Amino acid sequence: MVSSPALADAVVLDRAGQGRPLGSLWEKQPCVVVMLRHFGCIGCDVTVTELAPRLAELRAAGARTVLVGNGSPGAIDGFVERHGLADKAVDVFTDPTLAAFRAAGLVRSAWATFGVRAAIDYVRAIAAGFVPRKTEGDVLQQGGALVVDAGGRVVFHHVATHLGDHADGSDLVDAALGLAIGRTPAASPLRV
Amino acid sequence: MAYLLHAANVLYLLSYLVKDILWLRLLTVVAGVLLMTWALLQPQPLWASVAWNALFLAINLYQSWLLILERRPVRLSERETLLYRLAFRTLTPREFVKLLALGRWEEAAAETRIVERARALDRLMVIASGRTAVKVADRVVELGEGRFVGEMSFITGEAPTADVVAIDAIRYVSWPKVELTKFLAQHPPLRAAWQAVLGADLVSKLRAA
Repeated sequence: MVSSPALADAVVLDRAGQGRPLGSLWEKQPCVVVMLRHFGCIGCDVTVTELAPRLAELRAAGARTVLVGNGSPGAIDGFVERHGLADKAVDVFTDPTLAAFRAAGLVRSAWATFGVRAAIDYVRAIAAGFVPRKTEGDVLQQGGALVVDAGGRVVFHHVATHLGDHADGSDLVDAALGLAIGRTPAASPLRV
Repeated sequence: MAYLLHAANVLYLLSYLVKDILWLRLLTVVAGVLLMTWALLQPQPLWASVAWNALFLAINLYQSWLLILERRPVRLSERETLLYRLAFRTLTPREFVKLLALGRWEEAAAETRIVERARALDRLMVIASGRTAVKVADRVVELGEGRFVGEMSFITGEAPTADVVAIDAIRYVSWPKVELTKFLAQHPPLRAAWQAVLGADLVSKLRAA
């Protein structure tokens, strides 16, 4: 279950180690929050690679996109550089305390990380050209995704159950477009 | 007879050297035929080898056929080409053809109401030629060629809040929502490409609203 107040109050850190409540990210606009695992996670490399081409669509739909890892703030720069995110419409934060992950109802499990399904995900990622990297955070924590409107209402929630499980970018874009339509006055002739 | 065995293995070797999966399969098919022939021509035919190679042959032939179908050139009619240029440039022609196969070309005379306000809309349309008027109370907005009608209802599942009436005789393609949703769910890359097209149209409308 997602605990909206706890989620909004959970503090995430930027690359300089400055904390801010997660809720401040959706104060002014809808927010797509993609919770990663640790910054060296091969499954997260796949997630971000698939999400990157959709970032412009999310921004066009009026949503802010945020990635939250769980390593140290010092690992953010390397992650951003590795994925070429510096000039993209996305912000990267981290939550080493895992408070935001707990508030988002995400899974922390050894089986999800080392089980059979995770092993298959791992091999698939390597076969697709991704490279295993050093662990940079909590290795057992799984990821997920949320789409939150400007009022803090969670309209999309995905809980990853294994290493390679991530929300479909199309589902995130759908949720963001749905929120964009919701902001349009019902009396607009273009709302068909 | 041993030359058949050697020829088959040379072909297997070649198949391992090519990068194109279709060529790999075709070389394997020929190698398999040679190997089966060799096995059959033995004083005591090697039936187990023949059976396994027949199975491999069938699988490779079927997969090769699918690959050939996928690689066939796409030929669009004039009206399809026009619609492709108007609204679907970001899709590949093959993706576009797949989507068109699911939709239906329709025509409507001037003054025909193609969308009724507050009535559930079970289809999504794109205008190929002509103009439509979107009406809410006294406000009217014109939508022309290449614009979508019903995409907000498609995304939200809610009934439209405006009437859409043909200004001229129009031609459009309509997709049944349920079938389209199911089809896109089965084809994730196409869903992403389709969503980019629809999203761009939608965002431009929202900005104008």
